[in-house]
Amino acid sequence: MIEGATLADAVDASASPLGRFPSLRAMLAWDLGALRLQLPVLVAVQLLGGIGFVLGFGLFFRQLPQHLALYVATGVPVINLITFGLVVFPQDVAQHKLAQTYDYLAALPVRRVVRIASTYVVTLIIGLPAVVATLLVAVAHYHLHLDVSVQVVPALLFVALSGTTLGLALGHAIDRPTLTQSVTQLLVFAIFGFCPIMFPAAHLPEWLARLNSVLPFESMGILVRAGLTSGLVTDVGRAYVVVALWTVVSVGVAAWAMGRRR
Amino acid sequence: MGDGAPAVSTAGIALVRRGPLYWLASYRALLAYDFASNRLMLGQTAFFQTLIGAGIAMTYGFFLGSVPHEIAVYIVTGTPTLAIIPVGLVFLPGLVSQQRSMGSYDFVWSLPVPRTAAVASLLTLFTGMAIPGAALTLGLSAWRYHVTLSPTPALIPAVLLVSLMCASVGYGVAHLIVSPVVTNLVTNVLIFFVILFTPIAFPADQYPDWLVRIHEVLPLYPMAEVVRSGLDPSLVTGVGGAYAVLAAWTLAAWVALAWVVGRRR
Repeated sequence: MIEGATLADAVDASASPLGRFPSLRAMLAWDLGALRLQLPVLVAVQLLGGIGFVLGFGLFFRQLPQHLALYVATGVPVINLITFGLVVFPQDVAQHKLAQTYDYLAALPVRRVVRIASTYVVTLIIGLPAVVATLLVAVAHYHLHLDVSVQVVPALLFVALSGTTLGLALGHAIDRPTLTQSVTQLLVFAIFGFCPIMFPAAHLPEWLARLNSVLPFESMGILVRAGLTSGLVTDVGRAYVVVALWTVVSVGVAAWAMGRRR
Repeated sequence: MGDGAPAVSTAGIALVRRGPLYWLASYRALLAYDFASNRLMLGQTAFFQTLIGAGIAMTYGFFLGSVPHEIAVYIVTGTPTLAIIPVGLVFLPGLVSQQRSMGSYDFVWSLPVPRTAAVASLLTLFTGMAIPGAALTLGLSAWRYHVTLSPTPALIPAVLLVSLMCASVGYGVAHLIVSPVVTNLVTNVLIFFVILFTPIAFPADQYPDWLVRIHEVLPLYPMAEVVRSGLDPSLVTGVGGAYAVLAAWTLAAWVALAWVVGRRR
């Protein structure tokens, strides 16, 4: 009798104390609570890392040409948005697998899509302040002229989503924590140096440029750059398709890995 | 029948468990133990070093687009240092925290050997381990940027001191590590950050003066200086100060290690 009433309350969104998306609110509270000690460090690392990159490039080139400064300034936000989802989060999942709290989380009465959504929101909370700070510092330091359009909002949200789902797929599908560690470290290294996010693809050898045109990272850069500048990038539609394909595949892999029997 | 031999050998060991000869024998045995237990890591280390060192060297090229020869020389002579840094400052702390969670760390310190011999053995191993990867990295980047080098005999002590200092500081740092996940993130970001802001693979004169002053007393810039002067003496002036700074960091790390070793029971 009472149980039935409680269940009905939960289903009737307006009556639930958690509002319209009760399980998302609960999952988010859980995720943020689990990260409460790391959260300030993560936000600070993202902020300092982003600003550091923008300023650091000016140091090691005697005179950073304006168009390269523009590439760096519009590329670093991508790094800000995907580092947590792609690097820190899989390592966190690996840590849960190692500590055997993973199965407990999997047993929570929450849909997989809700867990994915919650991770996505956490990614945005950690990444977006750094994006804003990085852009402000870059504009002030290099006297850049950005041509910001509304397009940048969906671009940033989409890039963060794609990074998060890629990370979810990696974290949940790989069962050996040490392998997760190595893969994510290699990934962050490759993203920094070998993917044309912060520099033009024309600087790469041709085979590497061609490889990057089917990987998601260059396309992520194109999406964000298209929203912040005009005339610097072309073929934004293709970039959306590439990132969307990777996102769909990642969600599929993540959902499979989260749902399989162990 | 069987009880004669153990009694004799125990008495024998009890007699020689001190003095320089015993220390040397322990050091040799521990070195063999450390080498054997980490032999699988040796190839891996060289692989990751080359990846990091040569990777960073190539990344500079990608960022620049086209690399003028004088910049290329700086990049190439900086790569051995870039390859040595992670071995002492990242891999060694990683190994120590792994040994701690597996319990083999306490096992080594419970052996009937002087603890200084255990420290010396690990430092020797990691000093030597960094060198093949550094050489490979140097070769690759010289080939990539078409740079011909004229190394001097000073390169050998330079590389040994740089590697030893790095391992010593890293081993000291390893004792400060408490939580692996956050530390992992912080070291990763720190390494990128530090490499970006340290004039290892490019001239220091494009830096603000105050930043160069700071780098002169921090360990990484002097590392790059002594290695570079061994590879091409014309690029560096006044390398004596850099040697002194490196020696001071090494000694400071040893003092810290001696304190840790003496404190733990």
